Amino acid sequence: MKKNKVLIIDLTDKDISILKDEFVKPIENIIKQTSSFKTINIKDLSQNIINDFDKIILSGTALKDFKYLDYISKFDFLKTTKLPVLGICAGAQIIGLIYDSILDNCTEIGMQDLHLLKKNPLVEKEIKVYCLHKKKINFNENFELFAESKNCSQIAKVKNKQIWAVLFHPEVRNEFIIKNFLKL
Amino acid sequence: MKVAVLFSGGKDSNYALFKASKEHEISALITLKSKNKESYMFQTPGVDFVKFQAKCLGIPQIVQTTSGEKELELEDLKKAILKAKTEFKIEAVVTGAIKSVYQATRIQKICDELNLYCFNPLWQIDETSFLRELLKNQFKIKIIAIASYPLTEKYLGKTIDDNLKENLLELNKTYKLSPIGEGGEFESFVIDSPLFTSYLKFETFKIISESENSAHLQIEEIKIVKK
Repeated sequence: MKKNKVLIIDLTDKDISILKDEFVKPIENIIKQTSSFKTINIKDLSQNIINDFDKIILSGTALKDFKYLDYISKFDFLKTTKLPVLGICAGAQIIGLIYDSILDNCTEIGMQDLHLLKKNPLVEKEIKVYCLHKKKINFNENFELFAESKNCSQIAKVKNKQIWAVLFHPEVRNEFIIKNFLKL
Repeated sequence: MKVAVLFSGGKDSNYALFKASKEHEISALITLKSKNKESYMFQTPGVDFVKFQAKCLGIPQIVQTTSGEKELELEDLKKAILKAKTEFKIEAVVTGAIKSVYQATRIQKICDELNLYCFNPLWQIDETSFLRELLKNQFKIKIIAIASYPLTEKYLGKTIDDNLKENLLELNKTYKLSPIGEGGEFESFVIDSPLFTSYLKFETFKIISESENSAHLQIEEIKIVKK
């Protein structure tokens, strides 16, 4: 596998740094098995850093933490980037918003059945996935939908780009999804 | 932020407390005393003696008894967390959950219902690194119950030091046994940590054996010793 240089954008509230252990460290631990990475908190994100990497991952955060929505303007680069991007939970919501989808209330906490709608390079079979969110994304026509749970769209991709929005947390029990993303 | 820690007295909740204490005010410890020894939610061995840890930490402890029946114990947990919220004005609950989606999901749901943050600073932590971190940070941890082959009574009462750590890592390689007892292979009790102002010493105890690979230490008397 090609050795990637991955940028992890930590979407947790920087003022509650304990959240990084829960939502970012598990992703780092998976990536470091095959790739190098740098993690930067959303608060410190600047556009010029993006170009130094091969792939970008946007982390999730706690159920009560919506601070990341204050920084949505920092993600305009998602409209133009050619890099593969994986947005997890809050990260998926950011991708949805940048491509003009809307968020809606939908709480899912715990394991959910993932129903595949289309073949995709991240997940090949129906599995159980760990969810921890209070918002779902109503993906618009800019997206191609690949999987859903009972109540929410779970995997979608921006059309003609490798920008993936995954609402569940693949770092819990489904590490292979992040590894598959690294192979893109 | 004022937080309460779900506190069983084992290494996981003690280390979660240690991590949380670096940036938050630990207002209370919440201990559930389950009458069900098979509880998936709460540790039962040594739980009567967790009050001594609370004394060493100088943190108020909320003790809630529960029958340990599957969903009723969640109601009891919710009661205890609500008490911490009312009495101590906490904004978050800290847990030592590592891999258990079962535990984490249930606690997340309760916190969501009570509009509290739920912090899980050990979530998905690498087991070997965690064991090393515990020792590096001077945690003194005793094994107080075993429940898996090839662990036997001889492990009971042992303190996890470098030798035992290596032994547990070896058993992990050979038998796939979790070196931190994540699969319930063993239970632990912390007798000293960087946050303890005094440490604990087991004065008298008995070994209660259920089978060759299942036994626990019945602590009878514990002493607080000044550091």
